[in-house]
Amino acid sequence: MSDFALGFTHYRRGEIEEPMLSRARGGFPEILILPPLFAEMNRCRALIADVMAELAALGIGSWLPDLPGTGESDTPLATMGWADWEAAVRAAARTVAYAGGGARPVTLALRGGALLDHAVRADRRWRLAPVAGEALARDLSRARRMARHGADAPSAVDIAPDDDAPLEIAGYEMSSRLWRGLAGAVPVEARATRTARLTGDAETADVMLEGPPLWRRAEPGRSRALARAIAEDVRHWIGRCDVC
Amino acid sequence: MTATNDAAEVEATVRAVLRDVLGIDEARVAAFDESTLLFGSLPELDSMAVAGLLTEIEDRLGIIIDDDEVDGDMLHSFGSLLSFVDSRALG
Repeated sequence: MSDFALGFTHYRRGEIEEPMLSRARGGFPEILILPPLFAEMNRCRALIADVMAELAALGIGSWLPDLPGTGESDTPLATMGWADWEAAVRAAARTVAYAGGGARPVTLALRGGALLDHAVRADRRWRLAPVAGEALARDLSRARRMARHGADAPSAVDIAPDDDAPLEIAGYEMSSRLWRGLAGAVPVEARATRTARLTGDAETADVMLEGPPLWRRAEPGRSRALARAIAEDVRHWIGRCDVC
Repeated sequence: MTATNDAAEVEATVRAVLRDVLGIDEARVAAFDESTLLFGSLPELDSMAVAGLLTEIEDRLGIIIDDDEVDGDMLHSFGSLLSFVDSRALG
């Protein structure tokens, strides 16, 4: 297990270094984790840490970049547009590929992370409960209204003006370029993509996993069982190596 | 996504969402009845949790809840939440 010690590293976005967590030893395939977006990321932080530990236990290395403007990143979120996030995950994937001797990583995207995996040159893509950007935007604006007004919230207000003034949405100061990019993004259909959802989800998937939708929890929760199920499904799937 | 729901299924879904989203244990949620008070009485259900709760109900039942319809009355009790969701899911 010491081979898979936690490492605090970075990826480069032009001249700027953005933080990335690794639990890898430069093998193949390496997993690039594309985290959920905004508040969902905070709620899933423990789940992702558990998934990285479970992958390591199965002999699979993984990497977790912070998107610019989120987590430990020093970049102000308000300076980021959607295209910057696409470029950032591409840059993170290059770093992982370099560490893996040039092999393309496999992406493991959770929720809104699946809106960005098309930007990565990936060997294959695994997704948990991918969601359209429009739904995330609606959720954020709903949370914003609830936080301001409680359950007796007034009518929705337009929070997508055309000018470039930063918007304050559910505690995040973001550019309207990022907001519009998010609201218009959909998970891109691609070959060699496997979609997992949680039992009870009304949408179809390649596999249904048992577990709570931790990304909804107001109080962050944990599920080692779900983390294990994710890691095992990923291993099972990349083990069937008919592409690489 | 399909919206083929019956009343028992809707009720089971609402209970499952309360359990999963608010992290309330199964036995406690199973004991909820129509008069069980929610918003303002259930500590797990604060204003931030409301958004996640409604969105998860939408996803699981394949319905859309208009935010203009969300108010304290609708979230007052398990009974009022259920009758609201019924009206959307079974209507």
